[in-house]
Amino acid sequence: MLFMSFGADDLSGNQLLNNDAEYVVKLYSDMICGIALSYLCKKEDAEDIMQEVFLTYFQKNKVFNDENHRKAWLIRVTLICCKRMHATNKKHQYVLIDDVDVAVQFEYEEDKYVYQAVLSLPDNLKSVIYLYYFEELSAKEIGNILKIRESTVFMRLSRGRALLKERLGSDYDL
Amino acid sequence: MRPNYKRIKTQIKADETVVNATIEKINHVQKQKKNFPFKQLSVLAASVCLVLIICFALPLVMQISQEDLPIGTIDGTQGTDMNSDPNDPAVEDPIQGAQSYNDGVTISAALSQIIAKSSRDEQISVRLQAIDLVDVYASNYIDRLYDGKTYDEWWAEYEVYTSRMIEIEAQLKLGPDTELENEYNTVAEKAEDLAAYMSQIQKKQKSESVANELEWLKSLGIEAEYKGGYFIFSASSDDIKNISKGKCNYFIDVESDSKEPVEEIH
Repeated sequence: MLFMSFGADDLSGNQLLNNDAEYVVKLYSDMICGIALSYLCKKEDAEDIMQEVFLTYFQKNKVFNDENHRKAWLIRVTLICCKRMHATNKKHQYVLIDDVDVAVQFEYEEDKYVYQAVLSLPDNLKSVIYLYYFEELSAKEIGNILKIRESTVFMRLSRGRALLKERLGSDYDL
Repeated sequence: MRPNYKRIKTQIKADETVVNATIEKINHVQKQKKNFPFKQLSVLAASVCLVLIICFALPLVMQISQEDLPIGTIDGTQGTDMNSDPNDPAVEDPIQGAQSYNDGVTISAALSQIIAKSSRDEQISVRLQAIDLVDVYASNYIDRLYDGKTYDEWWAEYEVYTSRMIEIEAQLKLGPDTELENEYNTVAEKAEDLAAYMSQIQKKQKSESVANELEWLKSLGIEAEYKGGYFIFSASSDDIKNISKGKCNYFIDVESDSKEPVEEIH
């Protein structure tokens, strides 16, 4: 392990992917921030998570097969960091929906309404719903990231949709 | 109306100031790494020295400590299971510092340290994770019928609905279609009902699996409770070392110092 770390900086683990700091951060900062915000509901915490994830990324120097692989890894690390912060920060034991109003300025009232409804879901349903609808990942990809079966992803999507339907009302088709 | 998830997502943006600060920080860290190879050399040299010291000093320390023990005393490096050879050292688990006194049972490094320091009667609060709890017991349930069908048969029916949902979603992405949307809602409702039903089955199966493991632990003289994905109990160091696996492999850790539950990320 020591010999691998010494001089590893000279080798880019991702020969085919653009690993420039500015490129990677600008490409994925919105995604990571969005996921972290949906979990923690506080802008400052989401930004802290974003920094932590990127620093981890550049320290680990992991090799990725392709862009999807890199994206999946970043999402997974984001969720792990969020869960850790969520557990240690008792202030966020309950979803603070109002803080989200400060963090995101929605142009349309209905968008804010939908977003708040998603954020009010239980964590296990929220992550699946968020990754499926906002990040447009497939159930298989979500299963790989969350280390759950594809069947479990579908079940949580179903339950999440049912809850959203309840909270948003009959005006919305889900 | 359908929620416009795409539009919502485009409005969630990271603060540009924070993004730029992050880029700057990363560049700074990377620059520091390149400019100070000496730091890495020093770390390497120090690590090599430490390894050499441990290699030469540890056998000496162990020799001294073993000479102090009367014959027949079980020391911290030997297995205490009744059936195992007391001369066999504990297997060093690939998980760094973890110990294994019985096949299929791993004790974390943190707990091993506490065990080594604790007295015989001292009760240690631990949490035990049964690896692949539900999967291991899956064979018990494979042929069991729930309202006339096995779980796999219910699942196959569920997949028919979810596959249709995926097809319709893909088509709806091209543009709205009332007939398709109505079909989607019908199919989704059926899928939801099935999902809820299968969830109940899974809960029942898991509950049975947990009960089986609790019975096993009870047979070892351990009264545990199942909480948050772990079997929680207090036991002496000898009792902990004597734990042999039930149907599952076990990982045992200190309750207070343990990391968060590892079942799944939400």
